[in-house]
Formats: sequence, C-alpha cells, structure tokens
Amino acid sequence: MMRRRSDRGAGAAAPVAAMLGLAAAAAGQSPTPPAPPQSAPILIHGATIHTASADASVPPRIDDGWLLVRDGRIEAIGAAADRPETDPSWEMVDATGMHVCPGFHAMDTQLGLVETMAVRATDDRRETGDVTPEIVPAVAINPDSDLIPVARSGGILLASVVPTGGLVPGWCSTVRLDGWTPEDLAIEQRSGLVVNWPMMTPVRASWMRRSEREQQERLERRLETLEDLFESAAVWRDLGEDRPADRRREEVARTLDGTRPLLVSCGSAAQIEAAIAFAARHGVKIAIVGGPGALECADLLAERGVPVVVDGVHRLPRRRHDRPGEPFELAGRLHAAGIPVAIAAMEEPAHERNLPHHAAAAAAHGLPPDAALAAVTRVPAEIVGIADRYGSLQPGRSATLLVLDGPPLEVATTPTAAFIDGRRIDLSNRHTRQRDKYLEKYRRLGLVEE
Amino acid sequence: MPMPSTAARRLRPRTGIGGCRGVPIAALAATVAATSVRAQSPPPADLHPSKDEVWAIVGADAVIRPGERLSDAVIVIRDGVILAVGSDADEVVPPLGARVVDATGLVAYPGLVEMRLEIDASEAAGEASREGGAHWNPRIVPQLDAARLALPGDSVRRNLRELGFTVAAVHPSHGILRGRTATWSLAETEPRRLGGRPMMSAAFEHGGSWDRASYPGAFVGAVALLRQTLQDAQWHAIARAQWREDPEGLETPIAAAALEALEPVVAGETPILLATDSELELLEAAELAAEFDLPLVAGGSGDEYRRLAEVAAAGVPVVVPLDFPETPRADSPWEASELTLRELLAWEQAPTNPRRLLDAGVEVALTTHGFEDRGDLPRRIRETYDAGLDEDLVLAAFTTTPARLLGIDSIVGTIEAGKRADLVLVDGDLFGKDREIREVWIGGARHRIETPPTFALAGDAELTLPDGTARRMSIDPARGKVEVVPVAPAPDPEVADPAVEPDDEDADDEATAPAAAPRPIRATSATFVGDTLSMRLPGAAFDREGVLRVAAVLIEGVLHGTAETEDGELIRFTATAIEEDESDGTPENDAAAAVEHPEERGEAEAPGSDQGAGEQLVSADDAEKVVAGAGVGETPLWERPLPVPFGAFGRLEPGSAERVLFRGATLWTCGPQGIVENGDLLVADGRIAYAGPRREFRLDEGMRLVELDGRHVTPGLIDCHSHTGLFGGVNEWTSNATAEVRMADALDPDDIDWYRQLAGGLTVANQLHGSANPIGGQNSVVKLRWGEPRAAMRFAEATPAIKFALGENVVRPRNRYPETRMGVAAFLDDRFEAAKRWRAEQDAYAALPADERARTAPPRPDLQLETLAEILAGERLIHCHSYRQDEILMLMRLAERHGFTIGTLQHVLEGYKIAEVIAEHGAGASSFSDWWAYKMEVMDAIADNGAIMDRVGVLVSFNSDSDEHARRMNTEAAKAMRHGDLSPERALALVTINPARQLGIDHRVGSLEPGKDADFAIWTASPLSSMARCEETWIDGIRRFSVQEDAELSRLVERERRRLLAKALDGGSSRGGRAETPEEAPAAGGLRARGMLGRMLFEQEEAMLDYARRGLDPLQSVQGGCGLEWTAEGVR
Repeated sequence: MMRRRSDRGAGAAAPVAAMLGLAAAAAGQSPTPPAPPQSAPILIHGATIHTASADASVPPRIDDGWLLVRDGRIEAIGAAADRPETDPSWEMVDATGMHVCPGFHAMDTQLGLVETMAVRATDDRRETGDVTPEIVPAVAINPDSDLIPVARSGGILLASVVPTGGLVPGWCSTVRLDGWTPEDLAIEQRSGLVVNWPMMTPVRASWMRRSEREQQERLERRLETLEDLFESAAVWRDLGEDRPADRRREEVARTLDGTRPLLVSCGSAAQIEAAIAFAARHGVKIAIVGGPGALECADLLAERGVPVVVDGVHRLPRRRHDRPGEPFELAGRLHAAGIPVAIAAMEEPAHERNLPHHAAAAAAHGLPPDAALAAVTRVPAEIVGIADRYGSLQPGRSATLLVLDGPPLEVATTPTAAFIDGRRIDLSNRHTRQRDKYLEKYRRLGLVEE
Repeated sequence: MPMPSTAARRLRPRTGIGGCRGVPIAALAATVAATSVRAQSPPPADLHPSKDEVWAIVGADAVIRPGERLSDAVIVIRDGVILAVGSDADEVVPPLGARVVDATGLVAYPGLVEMRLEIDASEAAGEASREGGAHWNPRIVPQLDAARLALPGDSVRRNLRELGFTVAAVHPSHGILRGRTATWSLAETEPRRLGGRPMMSAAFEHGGSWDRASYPGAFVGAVALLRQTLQDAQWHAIARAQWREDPEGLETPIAAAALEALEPVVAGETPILLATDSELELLEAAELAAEFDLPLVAGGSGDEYRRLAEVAAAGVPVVVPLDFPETPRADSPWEASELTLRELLAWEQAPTNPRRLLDAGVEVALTTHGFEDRGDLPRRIRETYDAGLDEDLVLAAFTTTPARLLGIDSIVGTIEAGKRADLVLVDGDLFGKDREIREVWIGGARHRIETPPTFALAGDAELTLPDGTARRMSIDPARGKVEVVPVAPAPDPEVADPAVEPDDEDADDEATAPAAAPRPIRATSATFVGDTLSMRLPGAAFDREGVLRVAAVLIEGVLHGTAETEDGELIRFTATAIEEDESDGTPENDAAAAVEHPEERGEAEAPGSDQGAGEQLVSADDAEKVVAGAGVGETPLWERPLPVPFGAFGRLEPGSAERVLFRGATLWTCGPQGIVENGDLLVADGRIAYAGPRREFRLDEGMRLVELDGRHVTPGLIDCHSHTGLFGGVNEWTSNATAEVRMADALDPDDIDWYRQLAGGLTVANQLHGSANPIGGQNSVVKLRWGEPRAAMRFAEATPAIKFALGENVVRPRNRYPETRMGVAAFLDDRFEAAKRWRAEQDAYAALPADERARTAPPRPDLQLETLAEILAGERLIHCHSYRQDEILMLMRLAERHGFTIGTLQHVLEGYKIAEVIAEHGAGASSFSDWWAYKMEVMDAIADNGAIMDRVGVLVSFNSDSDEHARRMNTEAAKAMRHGDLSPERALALVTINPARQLGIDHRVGSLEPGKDADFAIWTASPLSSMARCEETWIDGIRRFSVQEDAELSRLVERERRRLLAKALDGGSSRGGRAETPEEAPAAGGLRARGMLGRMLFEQEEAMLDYARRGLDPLQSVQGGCGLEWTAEGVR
C-alpha cells in the first residue's frame, strides 16, 4: 500500500505546481514558483524541537515544544507548558508527533552550477586556470535548476556553493534555496575563499606518470604561487586609494582582514599542517574541508580552533589498511578531540538530499546526535559567517527550518514542511510530479489503488 | 641421452685421451649438434682456428652440479664438449698436448641459463600479421619463430655473459600468442641455436601500445581471445587431419598459418610459456591451460607467494623474476602513514618468493627478466639468501631446472662429461659480493671477462733510490694500489697534497703521537699493464716537491722505475720483493694471496659467509630484534605465515563452519515467516538448521550459544550490480559485442573492498561487465568468502548470465556501429539471428551419421555466438543496463520475438513508466535507490521508481554499482520506505530475497529458512535505520567479519606496520635506492590499472590528482559509472 507522505500532516499541497503542470519539466527548468513572504505569524506546536543551538539558554532538544515565527524570524520558542496565547490570524501548524529542526546546510556543493554533468553546456562548475579568485558562484546559480527543489524536498534549505578545480578556484557563495533571482538566493556572495591545497607527498598510484621529483617540483611551484598571491594582495591593499585596479588581488585582499575564511580542501595531515601555517602567516581565518587526515593533527586543529568540514561520511577508507568503519568514525573522533565539526555530503549536486544520511552515519558511529545535527546546520553557518542569522533555532534567528515525520537524520524520515525565512516552501519537485503522473497511469489501469 | 652418474664414472678405468671414458666423440658431437641458422660461418679473420684443440682447466673448485663440489678439479674440453671432469682422486689429469688453464683459487660453475630473454619482435609481428594466413587479430602471431628472428644482439649477449650466462631462451616481445621460442648460446662469435624443446611464448596482453581501438582492451578480452584462438586451432587441426585423410572429397581447410603454428600447442607437444603480471593472472593461466590440457610454464610476476597454496596446487613450473621492491622511503610521519601494510610487507617478503615456491613443491627457474639493469642480479640474489635461498638452490634454478624446462638438460646445466663446455670461472662465490667473474666458456669457446693483473710483484718491496736510500713500498695490483713509506715524516696533513690520503689512523691521534712514524704515501692512478706500472706519486715519497710521474717495468723480479719531477729531473729507482716465509714463490699465487685469499673463501660453503653478505646479516639481525620486539619471534622470514589476502585484514587460516544457536534476535527472515521477534537461529554444517520463534533446543556438544539480546538478524545482503574485485578493466569496449568475455577470469579476491562490503553485511555480489558496448561480457556471481582461495569466491549455482547495455554509453564511441538507439536495436537483432544460424549448423553437424561426420569438417567454434545461443535456449540470462523506457521496451520486444525472457533490467530508471509491461514480460528490475541527473537519459529518474515497479508487480532489487554503496545496501533499501512507502519487510527484500531470485540463487540464499546457506548479518538496530551498525557477517556458517575481530586485526595491522616501518628506516640506507612505484596506489582498493584502462587513466591524471588530493581513490567504481568514469570528456 503506497501512501504519499508529503501530502500528510503539515505537508503543503502543491496547487501552483499542479496548475503549471509539467510543461517546464522536460526543459530542466523547475516550474515551482518561489514562496511568497510570510504574511501572518506561524505557530508550530506539538513537535520535538531540535534547536542545534550553541546558546546555553536554549536547550538542544525540547519535547512537545512550540515555535513562533513572525516576519521571517523566530520570535519565541518553548515547551508546551508555556505556550503563548494564540491569535486567530496566526497560522497554526500542528506538528504533534513530529520533529522540527533547522534546515540542512549543504557545504562544499555545486548545486545550481550544474544540471547534467554529462552535458557540457549545463556545467558551470569549473573555470579555466589555476588561480581564479574572481570567480563568484552567486552570479551564476540558476534559481530554476530542477536539482534545487529535489534537494529542498530532502530538507536542504541552505547551500554554500563552491567552484571546483585549480589551486584557488574562487569564492564560496552561501545561498538560500528559494527565490526568483540569484540575488534573491544570495545570503553572502563571498562567504569564504576556496583553496585546493596541493598534495604534500608524492602520489605513487598506478595512474601517476610524473616522477616523485617532478611532483615535488610542481608542489614547490604551486606553494610559491599561493605565497605570492597573498603577499602581493597585502601589498596592494596597503597602497590605499592610489592602488591600481587589480581584480585578483582585490579579491584575495578581502580575506586579509580575517573576516572571510579560507576554505581549504585537504586530504592529509601534511596538507592541513601546511595550510594552517600558511593562514597563520598571512593572518587569515581558516577552515579545513575534507580532512581524512585531520585526526593525525587533531591537537593542532583543536588548539587553534580550526573547524573541519568532514567531506563525505559515506566514503571509502583512504588506505588499504584502514578499518572499514574509519570514515564513519572520523567526525565523532574529531568532535571528541574538541574540534568544531561540520559534515558535507561530497555527493553530486543532484544527490545533496542525502546529506542528513551522512550525518546519521556519523551519529551511528560515535558522533553525539545533537552534534551530528549541528554538523549539518549550525556549524556550517558558523564557518561561513552567518551563524548570527541561520543554523540554529532560537529567538532572533531566521525561521529557516523543517518539520519532519521522524528523527531529522534518519534515512526513512521525510520533511513534511519547510520554511525559509518564514516562507513556506513548496516541497513538490520534478520527481513528485513524475511520480504522480505515472501513478495516474496505473490507477487508470487498475493496477494501484486510490 | 642419459649421462652416467659421477659415482659410476669414478669406478671406471681411465681410458683414451685425457680420461675421456668411452663416450664416443662422434656421439657427443651429435648430441650437441647445434643447428646454426646462419648456415655459413664467416671467413676467418686470419688463420683458421685449430678445430681439435684440447683444453684442460685445472686447479679450480668445480661445482659440477648444484650441491656437488669437486676440489682441485680437472675439466677436459675438446671440440666444445666436456670430455672429462674429475679430481686427482679420480685420476683425471690433463691429457698430453692439452692447453692448460690454471684456475687455481677460482671456482668453476656450470654456465647459467636465462629462460626469458625478450627480443623486440614488433616489426616481425607486424609483418606476420599482414601475411596470408595471418590471424585477424594482430596480437595473434604464433607463426613467428624466434629461431628465424634476429638472435640476441652483441651487447645483450655480452651483458649476460658477464653475469655467467651461457644460454638464453629467446621470446618474441609482442602480442598474446607471440611465437615459438628459440634457445641460443651466448658466445661472442658464432652463437648457436641449441635444440631442445621450443615453447610457445604468450602473454595476456591488452590495451597498451597497440592501436587504441584494437581488441582486446581489457584483461578479460585477452583471456577470451586466447581461449577462442585455442579452440580455433583445435578445430583447424581436425579439419586438416580430415583433409589429409581424404584430400579429394573435402574442401581445403582455410589457409591459416597462425592456427597451423598452434597445432603442436593444442596437441600438448609444445608447452606454452605464458607471461603473467600477478599471481592472479598465473592462476588464470593455469585454469586456461587445464581447460585445454596444455603443458604450461608460467612466466612469473614475483607475487606468487601471496597465494602460494593456490599457485602450488596449480602444479605449474614458474619462471621467477627477482626485481623485488626497493626499500620504501618515508621521511615524515605523513609519508609513512600513506604506506600500506601490503606495500611494506611486499618489500619484506618478496625476496622469500622463490624459497616459498620451492618449499611448496613448485618447480622454479629464475630469470633476469624484469630488471632494468641486469647488473642488479648479484645484489638481488644475495637478498634471496637472507630470504631462504642458498647458492645451490639459486644455481639449480639458473641451470638444471631451466635446462630441463627447455629440453636441453642432456647438454647443458651441469659440468659433466658429454655436455657442452658451458662454464663459468669465478674468483669468489658466483653471486658473492666483490666476486669477479673471470672467464665464461661457451661451447668450449673461452671468453675472458675480467682478467686480473698479471703483474708479478705484489706485496711489500724494498725500493732503492740512486742516493742509496731505501724505502718500503707496497704493491697491490689487484686493487691498483701502490704506497711508498717516505724516510722523513709525512708533511703536515693540512698542507699535504690532496692526493695523499691519510691511512686509517685518525689525524688527531697523529698530532698527539710523539715521534710519529712516517705515514705511507699513496700513489694515484696506479695502472698495471702486463709487466708495466705507471702512476702519479706525491713527491714527498722521494723527498721532492710536487708530484712525480712514474713509469716502471718488472724484469725478472726487479722493478726498474723512472720518476720525473715537476722540473724535469729523472730519478731512476729499483725495487725488489721482500721475501717472506709463506710465499711459495710462484708469482700468480703471490698476487692472489695478496688480494683476497680466495682459497679460504672457496672453502667457506655457507652462503653469506663473505664479507658483504656478512654485513647484511648483521643488519638483518638488528631488524630481527625489532621483529622480536613485535612478537614475531625467530621464525625465518620465509616460514612466517602470510595472510590471505596479502596485507591488512587477511587471514592466516580460513575460518571454519561453526554450530551456533543465536538466541533472542529479531529475525528478518525475508521468507514466509516475515519478521520474528525474539527468535532463534540455529546454524549447523554451513546451513540454517532452524529460523523462527524461540524454541527449547538441547545444546549438544560443540554447539555454541550466542545471546543476541534484541539485536537484528537479516539474510546476507545481495548486490545485483557490482564492479568490485575485477582486475585489468571491467569494460572490453574495443568491440560492440564481446559475449565471449568472462568476468570470472578477472576475479580479484584481494580487493580490499570485499572486506569493507562484508563489514556492511554484504555476502553476494553480481560482478558485471561495464556498459560500453551493447553486448558485454559474461557475469560472475561471487560470495564474499574473504580469505579463501580465488576459486572459492565463485557462487557456482547462480544462473549464467551476461551484461548487455543500451543508451548513451553504447552509442558514445563515434564512427562505430551502432551510434543510435535504432542501430542498437538492429544490431542486437542481427546478432541473435547469427547465433541461431550458428546453433543450427552445430546441431546439423552433430546429427550427421558418424561416418559422414568423420568426413565432414566441423563448423567453426565461436564463443560469442555460442554464448548468445545459450540466451536463445533460455540457459543464460541477460542483465541489461538500460535507462529510458523506449530502449527497455525495445529490448523486451526483441527478446519476445526471439522467444526468451530478459533476466533483469539494470538501472531501469524509467521502469516506472512501463512497469506493467516489465511485469508482464517477466523481467526483473534492479535499480538505484535514488540516483539521477548525471546524464540526459536519467533526467527522468525518480526515487519512487523501485517502489512503483514493486507495486505494479515487478520483481525489484536495489543495487550499488559502486564500491562504496555496496557497504550499506541496508539503508539504500530503506529509501524505498521514504520514496514510495514500502513496508520495512518489503524494503529489505530489495537487497535480499529479490536479488537472489533475479540471480537464480534463491534456493540457496536470500532468506533465513532451514536448509539455506547460513549467510546472514547481525545488526545493532533495525537494519533499515541509519543508526544500525553491522556487527557480524556470516557466510556458509563461517564468521567472515565481526566488529570485534576487525578491531583485533586492526591492532595487528598497526603493529606490523610499525615493525616494518622501523625496519625500513633501519635498512633504508643499506639497501639504498628510492622506493619504486608500488604495485598499487596507496589509496586504491586493490584495482590494478593496466593496459588500455591504465592509459585512459593517465590521460586523466590531472582530474585524478584532484581526487587524490582530497584523500579519495579515483579508481573506485561509482554509481552510474559502469567503469566509464574516466573518458575523453573528463570525469563522468
């Protein structure tokens, strides 16, 4: 017996989508219109609320709790006992037996930059060149991408989108996943500068043609390039008003005041150590992305408070002699070592909806459940500098949150309602439309009930 | 020709010339009748050499055969043949008129035999493949004959001679069937071809240097081509035999030089020497040889020790290379952390390979094949001495064994009367450090390799200057060393000529020593030529400034010298030896004694007794302490048990089936009982004896009770689409139909991903060919019997099947039919028609009356059409990669037209659009849980696909198509609860009983029911929860994985790694050199990319580096990829 869960409980129907029909589907253009601004206060009640808050005054979990949203922000939050008086004009969301948590935040993703990787014309992930700090994804994210509503239906409401390839491929742009234009989407156009740290030790794999010496020389050249880039950006910045226009140095200089982090993609401890030293020398903030080797230099990371984005919990162990469970346990061990841990899915953009399952796998292998939730909500927001607005449920923060029919990270759990800045999001998507269309076929054939 | 044993010969009276005992010389000459390809000899450079010259080599210790040593031997040689060998005791003496070679102090060994000398045959192979009667595939050139190719060049022969080789078997270098080998002597002039038994040289060549588009591109294709060609050769041989019987009545067999050349091979007369790149290829070669009943000699890879028992069981002689890995280098902890246990252990254990093979009863010949520099040979041999070999074993593996394998053991391999005079005279042990090979005799032709100085004044001499002063002089011609002790104290070292090297005393001691004795002054560039000596001598030796130029000549024991000062003064001097008691006065012995005392060394039999090896032993001892510290103990290196698979998480012993009662678990039976809470599972003899509600069992002896306390037990998970554990490429994409290819040929039981997947509860995988061509290769269903022999991985009961593919992947290669979905439809139809015709011909032939059949040429075998005919007959399933509804419909309709049913539609991501047709046709559907959007043809893929098909009545499974997803098929199944609302029970069936049905193994696995195999997994929570962890995985009632054992193994792994890293650090300098490219990527899961795949990968190096930089393995198979990830367009 098949039921359509998204139509149950607090789930939103998709009248507009139905109206627009499927015409746009074939063109890879989502027909789902963005949600209108919140018009009336919303009270979500009866749910188990997972706040993901770091604030000592907000408990991590409230059973049978409520949450009041006004003008896109959380006004108040609490337990059943002190539920506020309601007004008839309020929208009431009965979430009894359900769960509420902040919307998931996809880190290290290319959502919106690519539609179908096999079709070059739809692929804007990578610019030519090794050092392109002028690349800003926020100007090219396609708000009509069919991939976005699919991700949203899996609870992904925020995304930190990064370009790929090269040594400095460009900026991370942090966006909300609903809006008419890329400008509507953007929360921070430049929330961190991406650095793909080079291999510090030679690769000796079967596919590697270059000798160890060649690799060593290439490494040294690339490290010099990085050093040069940041040094000359500092000089340029200090020239003041007289400085010549220089797009690349200007972009790099934006990181030098220590507000926007370098998001450094690293695999090994050797890379992480070198990257931390580099950031310290240039006085810039740093977060590590990837980090299978992070455990080997956990002390350094903890001591300096450098956060780690564990890029993919569902990944194969790096070395033949690693235990099968090692990738699952990494996040838990880093957390235990006192390192702020975020989790990214490291999946294709089309599969970002699996992000909570990565966090769940970490939770099954030692990461405390609250920390696992924070790893896909609050900690990403902290890393890209938007934690004052997003990433946790507490008064004053954006009402960017999910109502779910089960524990937030479970693989069988479905988000039944989603809000971005208080706006109720349509959870229909290309998949639900195709599903409904063909279920109709089988209903007509008498092969399914309903 | 049988030769009399040494003992027998000793009893015989001495007769004839110089002790030649009754063996007629004419007969000997016939034995050695070497056929020269170049029929004419060149005109002699000057006078004709004396033909019947008799030589006697006297005074040497002769190792006449491995393990048998004669001291003070006499070896009599005439006409290239050994006439007699013996010692004084045998009363063998040099015959009158013989030229005597005084080899006192030297050791004579039989000449060495190189079994695998490749010569470049690319041109000849190219020509042969264009001639009439050539095979269609340019890699099949068995008609080439090394005897008619160029013989090994002057420099190669010289290079081998200098190492003591006298004979080499030459192999053509190109192709899969490469041609007949030829055995050549390595003489400098007039090298001769020896008779014996040629072999057919072969290799599993694929991809690589050949045209990219040429078949085969993958290892599986190479095996298939070899198999097809051997069948063709059998067929052709029958046809030819029939035609010979009745040349009038039959059509002439096709002209096929290649197939004719294979006749002696398929008849079992000519052995095949099949070069292998790994122990797995060797096992495959042995299976193939057994299939065709061919005598096989394996060209080894050096990795045989990794699966020793299986290699030994194959019963195949192995030609073993010695190019062991160099010491792994890791200067920082981060570098060290990248070194896998497998790499480290290979470094330590590879040198034990020959000894382990010998101990296991394998016939071992050694080879220099694989060396970049053959000069490495002595060093590598000495490494085997530390690893269990000794000189006798090495000698046998380089003489008697290869001679026997090459069928020339009646004429070479030992030093005995009647054999060719192929021998080596060595100062020292044949492979000892600082040994000098003096002479190599080949067919009686003497080759001087290193001639020691004949300068007859050695040791201390008294030098007298014109002024009457005398100085002590010491001369060492062998080392080119001359020293003079001056009368006056040596000048201050700081202002001394740089050429003056202080002796071994320390300069400080010198300074503080009162009334220091004069220090010897050493000459530079002392050169001895015949009786002359020239050198530069610091003037201080003669109380002069600057440097002296010195010339001297030795005349009747007196050295007459002339020294020229910088200002032109000539100083004449003389020197004579200071007589010492022990000197017997013969100049040669004096020289020898001054050098090394080789006699003493000759007596020391134990290998490693010379100084060099001694040093190595010391360092090995140091390493041993580390070993002992790690608890490995004193077991010799070559006797230490090795884990299978080799490296981390391998097993020292395979597990055994237990009798266990698991009590108190939630049983997800996936059978009629559904989910049983608080159930009992009884396992005995590898089968499930009981699964159901709790029952009172009487625990008999030998039965273990395990309380599961509410844990969950499911059947072992089954992956219906895997590319894990296949080496040499998963795609034979060079052709649009490759039904002859068998994935089982490339099964890699060492792939670490098997272990990782076991850790996720997986027990069965369907290994599929890639999706690059419409008709792919035959599948291989395996059980994840980690740690067992390769053959034991196979799940033989599965229904045979084949991979087909449709859509974007197969039409991607341009300019190859088919390029469209329409062409694919027509192409498949055509192939099945061809298979029908082929089957009809076969049946018609089989139906002929016996006498007529005997006169009728059989239809040609065709593995490809035979496989397709099996599909038509309903004996083989199709697992078809497909996405869009149109192509899925096309395939089912095509099958219906030809009267068969599709086994499974793989991926089938638009299956939800035509679920009712699939259900009606009866095909299974094996889908991803939720993948989409990576290609145009999957834009309409939806996560509800599986659930909708299930609901409409299709038999549905979820598969991984990924090394990584296969570790967590349980949560993949759980997605069908979210997308499509399947019940938990129905969702779990997607990865248990449903795929079991699709693969035809549901009578054995897929559910927890009595009588089925005890394949199951134990979970900490509901298997459909993200929070569930797999605690144990069992197959056939044997526990193959447990969290607890995993932790123990992991500790052992780390301890072993630490031990080996310490050893590498310690031994790094003594062995020297940097680490060579390891046999696998540190990050790789065991896949060895070679051939075409390797080349494709190289072209994507930059993209792959980006993966590696993030600590990922670029070679892992991923969903939707089907082995096509690395293409011209870049990452998929």
